[in-house]
Amino acid sequence: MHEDQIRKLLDLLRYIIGILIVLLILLFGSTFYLYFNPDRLVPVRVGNNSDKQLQEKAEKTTLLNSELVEGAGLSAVLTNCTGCHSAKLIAQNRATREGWLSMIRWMQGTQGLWDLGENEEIILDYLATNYSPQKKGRRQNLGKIEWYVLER
Amino acid sequence: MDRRSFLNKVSAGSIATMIGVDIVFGSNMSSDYIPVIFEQDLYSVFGKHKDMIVLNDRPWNVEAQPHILDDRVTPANKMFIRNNGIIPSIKDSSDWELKIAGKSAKTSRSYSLEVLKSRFTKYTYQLTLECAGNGRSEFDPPAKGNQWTLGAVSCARWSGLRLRDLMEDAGYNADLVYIGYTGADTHLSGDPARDSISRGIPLEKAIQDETLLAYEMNGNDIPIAHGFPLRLVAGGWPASASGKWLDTLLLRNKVHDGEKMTGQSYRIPCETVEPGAKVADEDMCIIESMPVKSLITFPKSGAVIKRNETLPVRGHAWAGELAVREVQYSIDFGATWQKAKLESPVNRLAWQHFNAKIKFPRNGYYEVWARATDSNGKAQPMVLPGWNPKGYLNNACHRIAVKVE
Ligand code: HEC
Repeated sequence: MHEDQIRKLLDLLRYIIGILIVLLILLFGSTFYLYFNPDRLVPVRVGNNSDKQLQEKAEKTTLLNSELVEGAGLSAVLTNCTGCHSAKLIAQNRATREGWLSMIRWMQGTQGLWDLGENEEIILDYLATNYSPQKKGRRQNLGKIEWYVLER
Repeated sequence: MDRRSFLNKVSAGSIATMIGVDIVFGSNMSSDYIPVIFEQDLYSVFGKHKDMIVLNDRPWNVEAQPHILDDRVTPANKMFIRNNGIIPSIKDSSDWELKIAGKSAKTSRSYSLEVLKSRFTKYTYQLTLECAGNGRSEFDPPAKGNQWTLGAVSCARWSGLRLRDLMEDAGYNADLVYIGYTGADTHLSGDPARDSISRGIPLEKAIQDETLLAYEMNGNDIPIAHGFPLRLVAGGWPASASGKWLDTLLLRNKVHDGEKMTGQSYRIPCETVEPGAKVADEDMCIIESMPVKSLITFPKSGAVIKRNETLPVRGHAWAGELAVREVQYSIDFGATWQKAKLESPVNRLAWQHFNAKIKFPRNGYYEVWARATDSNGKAQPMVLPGWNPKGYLNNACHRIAVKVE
């Protein structure tokens, strides 16, 4: 083989190896990135999040959310309902769907809560499912008594 | 989970809302709405007692438990916090001003805090302040708002000038019927155009001796969580009438219509209603004096004693505008009642202390129930009183569990 031809071949080889290395770096990099940002795999449709997406996000956020129970729609609640007050105020309350709607209407009428759009249904479903009233009657038993010997 | 780690998790919760989720339908949302508050530790920042219970940390709503309210005069670290907005950051009160405004004010003018302290006679009263929603958690069907149990009540020593003295100095017209307030706290939305709360009291309450513009609590500056540097104190009325971080008094020629004066807030149905009923706004009436109530502050519920021991019991009783005439206790669920020893109040509108020594007939589980009666002869109910949409005025008897072995 001609010295010239060999040099050309070697150049081509170097070129191919270079491309391969770049590709490998890209592959490792994106795997690494997606490993820590798995939600990037889901196409994000702004303003039209499906419940499945909300569910996925909810699962991600519950790790960091200690007061509201997990469930479909949690993400919409965290997004729209924790800007002014903490989620603790929500978790303390229990109401029927109608009762929850009346609280939302009160906040919209007097406290500057925005129009919730299609999230209203999602939020109401979440609240009415997870924070519905419990029967208490006219007086309950004393709860959670911690017994201790009274020192004299 | 202990309360501290709970609080820490809560901070993590708001970080989640900052980084975790995008705003789906927030076109009306300004960047102010992004929760940038990292909740601070109540116990270190406000120096509250470790047994205080946090119902909400944004805004702060924190209650005591009966067993830490045993002091005759409630110290700052055991006083409940009911905030409607964000606490203002006031480091220095030297330039604090109180504005007098409203249609019934002779002139609109301001008083510096210095003038309020130096020009007017200083009075000190021990005054009971109870949140109108104290006990809300027991209502069925549930009532909206912070689910207070028993600890949203306090009785500290407040010092300041009489509201009446200031009103006379400022001058007011004959048509004055109501005094409204605004404070320096920020609305939860961050919107400066909104008041978080702006309530008040009618003229008759405003001119009482004990109605103060207070600048001291228990002999010190008022703690920031409780209204530093100036607040109204209208003892015996819903504590929301006693505006904190006071910056304006509005002398009104009609019933004040500020934030949380109207609609269903701090109102009950004018006529009693069936539990769960919907009540129209126009059928709701403003709460004035709080009803008669009592709290057993010693021992803590759950005491186990020996058969031959007597149980010392003590607590406080109060009755809004009225005095408490009698406190009784029962160890048989109300079948029989015995009289407790009751002290007179140190001044009008201060809670009264009671105590008893109880002997139990045999071993077993007991509940000690306390029941106070006001000077008009009205006593506390053993069951929940009239249901109302926002769950105010639950003055049902307090009880503690005791075991005799
Ligand atoms: C623009 C501000 C804002 C947003 C956003 C907001 N709230 Fe509120 N909300 C308030 C204010 C102000 C109060 C009164 C707080 C208080 O009295 O301590 C309140 C009170 C409440 C209460 C207690 C009800 C009562 O009668 O006191 C509940 C429950 C509640 N909010 C749930 C929600 C839910 C669910 C959402 C989401 C749909 C939401 N909030 C979003 C401002 C807001």
